[in-house]
Amino acid sequence: MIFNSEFSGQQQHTTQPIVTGGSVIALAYKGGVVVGADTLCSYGSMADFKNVEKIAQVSKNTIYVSSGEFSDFQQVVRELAKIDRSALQYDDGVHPSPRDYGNYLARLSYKRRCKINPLYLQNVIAGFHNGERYLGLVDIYGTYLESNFVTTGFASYFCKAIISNYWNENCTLDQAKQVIRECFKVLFCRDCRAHDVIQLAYVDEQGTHIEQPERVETKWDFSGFKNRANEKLHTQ
Amino acid sequence: MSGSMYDLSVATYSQEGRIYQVEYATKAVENSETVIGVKCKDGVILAGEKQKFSRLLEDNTNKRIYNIDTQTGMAICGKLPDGRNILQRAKAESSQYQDMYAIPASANVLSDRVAQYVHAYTMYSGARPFGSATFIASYNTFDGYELFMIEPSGNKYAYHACTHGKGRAVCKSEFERRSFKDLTCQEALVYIAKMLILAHEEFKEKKYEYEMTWITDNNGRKHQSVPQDLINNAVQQAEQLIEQDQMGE
Repeated sequence: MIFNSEFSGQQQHTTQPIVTGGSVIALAYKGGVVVGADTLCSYGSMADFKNVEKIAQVSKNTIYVSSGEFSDFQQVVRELAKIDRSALQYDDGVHPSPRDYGNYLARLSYKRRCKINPLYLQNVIAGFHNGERYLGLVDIYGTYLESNFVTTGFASYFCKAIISNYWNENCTLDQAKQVIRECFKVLFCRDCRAHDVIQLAYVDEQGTHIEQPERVETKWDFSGFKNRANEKLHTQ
Repeated sequence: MSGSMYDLSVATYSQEGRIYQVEYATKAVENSETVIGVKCKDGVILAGEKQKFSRLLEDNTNKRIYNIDTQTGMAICGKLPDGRNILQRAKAESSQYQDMYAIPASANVLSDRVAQYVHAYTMYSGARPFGSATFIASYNTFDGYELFMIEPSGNKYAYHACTHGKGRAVCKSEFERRSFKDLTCQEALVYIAKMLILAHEEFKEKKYEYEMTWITDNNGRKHQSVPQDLINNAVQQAEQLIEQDQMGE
């Protein structure tokens, strides 16, 4: 998408993302929410940075990931950290809930959209507060949606069917994780800018748990690949 | 110490080279409630007394010691509203530093910024100096535990132990008598409570609250309030110590 900055006068605004992160999938399960994202930052179509741990913990019970321009993601993490710091400075026992962060990010995104200088991100805020699960999606325009499952980027096209068929909001953590892994398997096969190393994180009553990156199981030992049946056909 | 004509504005020196308005601001601090900051073996403690000047006051109101960051705290001595202005600035400086450099400001840097801010108000005739001294206590991995005091003149010094307010003479002599460097924060609480109680000896009929915060090895090196039961114990033991001292006399 290119944004027309004619009307903004002299100042040039960023109109296209340069270093981008891949899809994010987040599901609610019985007792919390789990988020998965791959560990790749693409430089256009080049898989440039392959060990990026994208899941940011913004507070004790909230995590934030996004797909899109990675520098914007880093800036948003800094902005959200300011909220946490401000709460610490007031020291009045009031802690921002995940919904507060989601709303703040929606306001931020909408403001930038109105200036035709967007934060080029599709954001997911996930958390657990006062016994309630929270999953929020904020897109590039500042649209704010809360839901039991949230997908960004290509996952919105490929993975919704998988999620519908294999997930329900009262499944266990392991079931939800398995669904996310399945989704990333499919994404790795079909999305050109996807990677097979993903990172999962979940938030429950006890707090945030961000796991180590793991490689999704993919199968490449099909006899067609091994025996190169197609090649033989064409060279005969 | 009559200033005659040289004390009308903070932008005027006296013939001896003094700035009376800054000295008067310091007097305002000296006439207010005592605040103590002390570095112990395993941490830093900030403590202040709060006189409950009216029975209508709620408990634990009128906070004097605030968080600036997870590992930095500031105590206000003197006029609280003036001090809160300085505090606001310190919070903003700390937040902006962290935004820019991705690490928390060290106490040295932060108190330098605060001192410059306080000093700025001693140079222009249109504004008056702040009538409060602020204490900054902090911990970071490079410098360890640090304690600074910033006076209304804009002077800032790093201290092992510092105090300001009504009872500063009592506290200073206690600092010299006892080596807090050899006490842990937990052990030091009693002596700090003792200093604060002695500091308001003459006004014994009034009720006092004690506000104490610390940054120690034992509490994760975070700036937190000392638990109320520890404060209460320390105050009780301190009162006993004072009685013993008095009976010994």
